[in-house]
Amino acid sequence: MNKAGLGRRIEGSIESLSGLVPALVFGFLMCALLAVLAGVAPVDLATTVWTGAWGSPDAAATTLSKTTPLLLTGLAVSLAYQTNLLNIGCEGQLTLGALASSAFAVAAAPLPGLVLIPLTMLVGAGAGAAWAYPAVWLKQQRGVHEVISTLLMNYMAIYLCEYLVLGPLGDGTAMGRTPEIPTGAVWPFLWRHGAVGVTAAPFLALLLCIGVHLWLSRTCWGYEIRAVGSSTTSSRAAGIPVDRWQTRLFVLSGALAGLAGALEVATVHHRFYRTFSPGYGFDGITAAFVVNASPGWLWLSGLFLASLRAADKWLQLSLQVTPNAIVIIQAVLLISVACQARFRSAWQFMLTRFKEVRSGYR
Amino acid sequence: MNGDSDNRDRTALIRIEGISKRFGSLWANRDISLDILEGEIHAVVGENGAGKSTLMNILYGHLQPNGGRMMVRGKPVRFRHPGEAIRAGIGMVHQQPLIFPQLSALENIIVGTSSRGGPLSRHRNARDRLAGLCALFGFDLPLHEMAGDLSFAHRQQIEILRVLYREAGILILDEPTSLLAPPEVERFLGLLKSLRQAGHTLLFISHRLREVFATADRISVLNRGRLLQTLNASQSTIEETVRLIVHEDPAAGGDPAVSSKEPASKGIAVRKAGGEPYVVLRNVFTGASDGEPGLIDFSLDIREGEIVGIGGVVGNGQRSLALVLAGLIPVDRGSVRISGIEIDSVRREGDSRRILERLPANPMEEALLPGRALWENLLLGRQRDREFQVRGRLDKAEAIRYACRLLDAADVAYSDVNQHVDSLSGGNQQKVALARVLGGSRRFLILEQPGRGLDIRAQQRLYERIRAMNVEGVTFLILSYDLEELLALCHRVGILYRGGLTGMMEANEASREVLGMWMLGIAGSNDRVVPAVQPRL
Repeated sequence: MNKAGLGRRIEGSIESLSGLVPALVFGFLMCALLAVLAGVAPVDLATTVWTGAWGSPDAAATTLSKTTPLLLTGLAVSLAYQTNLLNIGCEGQLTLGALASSAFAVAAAPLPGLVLIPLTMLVGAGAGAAWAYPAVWLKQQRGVHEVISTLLMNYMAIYLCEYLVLGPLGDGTAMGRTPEIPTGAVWPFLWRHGAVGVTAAPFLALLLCIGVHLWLSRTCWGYEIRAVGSSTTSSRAAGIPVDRWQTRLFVLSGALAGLAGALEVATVHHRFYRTFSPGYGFDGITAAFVVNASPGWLWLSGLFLASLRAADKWLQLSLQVTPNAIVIIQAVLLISVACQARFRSAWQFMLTRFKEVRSGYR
Repeated sequence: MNGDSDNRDRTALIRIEGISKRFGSLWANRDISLDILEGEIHAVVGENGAGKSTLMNILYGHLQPNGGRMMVRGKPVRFRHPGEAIRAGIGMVHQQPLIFPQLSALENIIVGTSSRGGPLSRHRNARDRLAGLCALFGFDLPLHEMAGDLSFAHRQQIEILRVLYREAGILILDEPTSLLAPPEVERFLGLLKSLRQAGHTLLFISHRLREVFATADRISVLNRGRLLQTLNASQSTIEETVRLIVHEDPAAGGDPAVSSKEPASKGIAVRKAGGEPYVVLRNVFTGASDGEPGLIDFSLDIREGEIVGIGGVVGNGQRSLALVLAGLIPVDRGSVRISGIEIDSVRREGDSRRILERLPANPMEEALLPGRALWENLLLGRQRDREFQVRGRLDKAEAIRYACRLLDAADVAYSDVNQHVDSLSGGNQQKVALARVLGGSRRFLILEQPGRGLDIRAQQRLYERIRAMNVEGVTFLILSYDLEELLALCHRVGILYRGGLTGMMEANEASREVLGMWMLGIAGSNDRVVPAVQPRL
């Protein structure tokens, strides 16, 4: 690639970030303003989040473990969004995946770990996929909007799991949990420090994100998926199997959410709890859209949101701020990103102005 | 250049001084100064991307100029949005009528105007005023019918009445005749003259110089964003105007491919004698598609190596014909065979594209990928070809080389193959879609409105390319609202009316009058009619 081509490429990537970056900067400024209004110095807020999430080996391990489900649900949302479908149902798929995998692990306890761990993951992913499929089927056959169907199926999944865990699949207590899974199904720590440690799960999730990014950007399938995302009519006319791609990616999206649930069981809780998810499925939507649903950048939003989640109790302890503040931060950032078209046109206006001034026009 | 001395004493209703507008690095309008005189019909002509639409959009407040100023009746004005232009007495009639299909024609006209009195008296007053306007200009618009059920010509009347109802003295018309049947065009041009008689000032954009010369008092020629000259229609000729429109900078060198002849010069299309029927439609019925009637007992043979054109007024089934051939809507009754393959079976296999390629009438919605790079748009449909992939991995460098080749062959004005297709002008988007369709290796091509949005020069290049491909043996079906286009290109021309084929003629002995009557559903026996279907031997 020659020099001019490289320059154009750089200009192109600046162009593609020209809406997102100013939007995020604006979002952070708004958060800082809110902090000031709440009587907290923004710098204190940032340092508290930083030390809370990464200040000690324990904290870092906890943060990393919270990164896993965010990466996977973020990837799930991004993947479906490549074909212009919005999977709002990650929470339900994740819950169902967690319950199915823990029930399976309990039932298949005699199997050796080498077989049990991958099978448990597969069962979780399968449950998530199965819960996602009806939504895309309804969309294609009956014209039901996937946002409505996946949103409602969340509640069906959550209450179904609640019933199952208080009844047939529970451990007999009124705690709303399954029996503990056998040790053979638990992911071993790669590194441990007291009671906490780091498993391979966050790295697996990161590899999945990078793999999906390469798959989408380098292959002929990825091209077809981008085409479907741009225009279903044009793609269909060009012989691309639009419905098949949408079904595949949506089911894959559900599988990733289910896998996130299974990993939570196998690496963190070692059993299914009724309230094990603090809303990872919904956070996945934020994680995806804060980086424009591009899987190659998910690690950034995943780590950031996990840091916020991990530091929330420190806000209360050292700043006397309600932990709900992180929800507000997320919401402000998401709204700013949603307005990025506005930032992009402002950026382009300034760029043309700058070029005009430089070229001596007026 | 514009101010002829005899025009100076007439009042300039709108004075444009040094207007400039740029998009990125491109000057769409550069230092344009122009007077629009009270009560004249002023035509604006030029190639694609010459800046006609930009200038009109500045006048109507859709766009803000980067420099220069405007005056209306001697008072300087600056329109920040169309509402301000409307208040200054300027109205715009869009090329595609903007209507609310569920509202009546009357409601479509008065929507957005301030009401006086209760809702009932408001409608009554409006009806009385509109009935008066209809009578004055000879409109036959049924005011109480739902706009969605009305013909194109009626929808256009809604657009015009909307402007007149708001008492606009200045009307901007953007290619108003491009979708009308010839007899309707005649009536429409008459309407323009009667509007002038009633004291209105008209500004209209057109690619059809014959119509321009039939109505306009003065003609402004734009070329690459600059105003080249304003001609007095009575003292000028079509030839001179064409020369100005395609005028190149002497420094850049002339273009020998473009002659200054009338664009609709008859094409010498070569046809292989006695070709076998390649496309066979027999008594085909289809359902309606997108508000257009379906096909009703439609039969047609297209021989191998033939160019067949099907005309008709908008909304008479051209879309259904193209969709059924492309395998996108089912055949309800009858049979469709292309190259011996029954189309319904192709559809089941999910890929009719192996035998044909189609250019839809609205490429942005149905053939292009908005928000994606040019190279991705040109690759569409060929992404699985062996030359572009190695074991599933897309060879982007090869795809970009291929895209550049097609873009250059189609004369697309672009700066970078990575730029999004929606950043191009309308004419260039059409060229991109054409580049992809013509660049494939299919033996049968369906082109809907191939010349739409293209300027004279680009149209001529396109027609030459189609003829050259035809000589190589490619079969074409061309669907167009523009009779001149069909007559210039095709061997045989037929007219669709309400889903049925009214008749067919050999293009070189066709009569425009008869075809025009057919477009309005007036069938008459004529000795030039040729059979649509080959007689069985």
